[in-house]
Amino acid sequence: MNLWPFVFVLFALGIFCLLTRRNLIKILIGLELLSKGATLALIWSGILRNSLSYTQSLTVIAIAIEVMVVAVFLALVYAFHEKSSSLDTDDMKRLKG
Amino acid sequence: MVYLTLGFLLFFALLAILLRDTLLSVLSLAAVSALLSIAFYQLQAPVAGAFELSVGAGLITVLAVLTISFLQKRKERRQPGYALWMAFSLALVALLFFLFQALWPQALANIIPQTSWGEVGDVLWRVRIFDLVPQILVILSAVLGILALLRKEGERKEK
Repeated sequence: MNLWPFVFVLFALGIFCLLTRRNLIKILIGLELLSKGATLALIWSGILRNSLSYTQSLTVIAIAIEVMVVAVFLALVYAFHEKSSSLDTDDMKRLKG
Repeated sequence: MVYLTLGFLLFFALLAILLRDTLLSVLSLAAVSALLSIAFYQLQAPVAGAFELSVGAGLITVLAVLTISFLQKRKERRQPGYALWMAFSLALVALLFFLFQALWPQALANIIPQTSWGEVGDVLWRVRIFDLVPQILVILSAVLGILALLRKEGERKEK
C-alpha cells in the first residue's frame, strides 16, 4: 500500500486552486486542501516509521493551528468585504507595495 | 478500502475547486474532511480521525458557512425543489451506507484501531508539552487578531 500519490494529488489540487482562483473563499479552500494533504502525509509517514502515536499527536497540533489560520483568514475576508463589498483578489489593489 | 475512501476524497476535493457556488464548495470541503477522518480511522489513527471530524468537518465548515451567510445577500432564491432534492440525496447516501454495512459487515468490522487514546495523550502531554505552550499562544494571538480585524470603524476612530 502506498498513499504518497494521494498526498501529491491533494497538494497539486490545493496549489492549482491557490493559483487559478480569485475568490477569497476558494483560496481558503485551496489552503485547506494543502493542510489536509500535510496531515495525510504526517499520518502515512507515522505508519511507515512505526510511530503512529507520535505523528497523531503532531496531527492534532497541526489541525488546531489550521483552525486558527482559517478563523483569522475568514476575519480578514469579512473585514475586506466590509471595505470593498467584494471577494475578488483583483480588488485588493491597496495592498500593492 | 482506504483507496476507495481516498478516491472519493479526491473527487470531492475536485468538486470543491470546480463548483461555482461557494456554499456548495464549502460543503464539498466538509465532505473531504469527513472522508479524511474515515481514512485516518482505517489507517489505525482514530485520535487524529476524531479530531479531524470534529474540527475539520465541523468547526471549520460552520465558520465558513457563517461567514458566507454574512457576506452573501439573499438575492438569489433557490428553486422550491432544491431543499427536497438535497434531503433526498442525503437520505439516499445514508440508505446506501446502511445497506453496505448490512450486506458486508466484515468490511467495516475488521477495521480495529490498534492505537490507544492514552498512548497519544502520553505523547501529547509528556513528549510534546513544549508544543502545547506555543499552541496556546497561537490560539490567543489568533483571538486577538480576529478581535482587531472585526472592530467597528467608530471604535477605531475613537482610538
